[in-house]
Amino acid sequence: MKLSLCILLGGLVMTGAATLRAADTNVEDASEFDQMLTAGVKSEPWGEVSSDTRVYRSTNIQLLPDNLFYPERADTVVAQTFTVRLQHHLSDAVLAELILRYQLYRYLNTESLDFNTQSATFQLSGEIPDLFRWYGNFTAQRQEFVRGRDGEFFKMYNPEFGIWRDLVLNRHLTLFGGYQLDWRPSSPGFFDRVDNTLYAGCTVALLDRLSAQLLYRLSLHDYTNYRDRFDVNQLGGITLFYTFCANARVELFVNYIHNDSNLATRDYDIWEGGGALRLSFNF
Amino acid sequence: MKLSFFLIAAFGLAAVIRSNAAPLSEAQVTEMKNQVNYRAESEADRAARLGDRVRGADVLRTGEKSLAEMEFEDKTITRLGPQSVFSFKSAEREFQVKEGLGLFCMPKGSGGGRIVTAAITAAIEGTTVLALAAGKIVFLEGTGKVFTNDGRQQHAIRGGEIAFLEKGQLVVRPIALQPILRSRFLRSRPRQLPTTPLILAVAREQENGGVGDINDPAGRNESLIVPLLNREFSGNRPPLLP
Repeated sequence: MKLSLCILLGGLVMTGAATLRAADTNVEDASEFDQMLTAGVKSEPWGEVSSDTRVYRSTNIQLLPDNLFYPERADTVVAQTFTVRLQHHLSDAVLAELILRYQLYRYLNTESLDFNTQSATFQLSGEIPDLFRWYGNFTAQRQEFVRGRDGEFFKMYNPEFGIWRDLVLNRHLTLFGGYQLDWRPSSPGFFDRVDNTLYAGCTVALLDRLSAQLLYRLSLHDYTNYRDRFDVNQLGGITLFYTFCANARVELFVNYIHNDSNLATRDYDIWEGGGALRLSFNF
Repeated sequence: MKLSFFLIAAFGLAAVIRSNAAPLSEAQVTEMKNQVNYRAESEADRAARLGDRVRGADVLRTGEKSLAEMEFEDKTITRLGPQSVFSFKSAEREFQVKEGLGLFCMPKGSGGGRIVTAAITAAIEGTTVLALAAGKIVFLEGTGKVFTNDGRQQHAIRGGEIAFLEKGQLVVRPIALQPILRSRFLRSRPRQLPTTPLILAVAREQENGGVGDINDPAGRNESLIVPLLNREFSGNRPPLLP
């Protein structure tokens, strides 16, 4: 009886060891890898269409200093953005993109301020290996009221240049930072401004599909055509991303913005918090 | 004058750093499965042993369902798949995958090196690369350059991309890393690659959108960063006042 048990156990151990060894050594050879790689290669898409829907609460929709003469007004905002992006590599190192955006901003209570935005951007971007990535673009944008006012109320042309890089510290933590220069000649002309922006942040992978991003942005707004106005604008934000797949994602975000201007009537603070759904399709 | 001096000094320093790339003198066999043969220069083939030291002009050869792993003095790890033949040129820091496939994990600051296959060559440093002898090279993480073996074509490449020849043209395309990472050749090894976190970060970015994502080739992580940068979060209202 004991002998039978020993033989049985011995057989099980040997079978287990053989199975383990087979699994351990049965690695793919070059031809299997070749098939795997062939199947995994993706052709470069021509572009993308996407939809970004944001619903959030803002404590100060008109960016006012909240005093007797300029009280803050809070409201719920629905911001819907449709984007079409076409892309083409001009060379190994330079990518050209044409980006068309149509945005709708709707206020739950302050409907008289509802407006739409249309913009077109041509962008070149690339990478200086091991140093940073760069982008330069030109955007033309117009905004128009939806109701009760006289249509277009704002236009701007925005040459922009930026560099940024990221640093993967480990599988959970990526740091990023960059600089961006914007020159924004506008109509009416008193909106003309030059922005110098520095930003830094980190992305933390909390779970397989859940990430958190912390961002700090410091932006200096030099209004070149209005009473020497100069603003120091700071933003701190945290966003949670849940990614269903590369083409569908939801977000929850909270931002705090503090604007310190040399014109007292242009100081303001804002808290924003809400959610977003982003869907995209590549073609 | 001062500028010229600094430029000369900078180039001189760069040249010194470059020339400090030490030759790859030898690699030690650290893992073996099944049939692995070692042939020292001017000697006959014999079964390899753990701890064998592979030097320039020596050849390591794996049989069917076999693999071998080596570590160089500069901590470069080389893993050979089944039915593969490997050798290296010490002074040129050149790895030659003559048959089969190899995985190369080269730490930053080691002086760089080249991986040579039948059709293309990769210049690497601080990268992890999978190379098929037939002429396909996948960068799992990091950046580098790939060349045709005649030197006439070259292309920058980074993690999540594959290089190969297509109708005589050197092409670099995005490639999904997850299936590769699920292969038995990469996972389930007793020893994890030191760059595994970086490889996983590239794979995750591919899935989540962002850096390394085929849909964001500019790598600007637009969908994650730009909303907070460019959209008028501080101006979600018509700019009624300047």
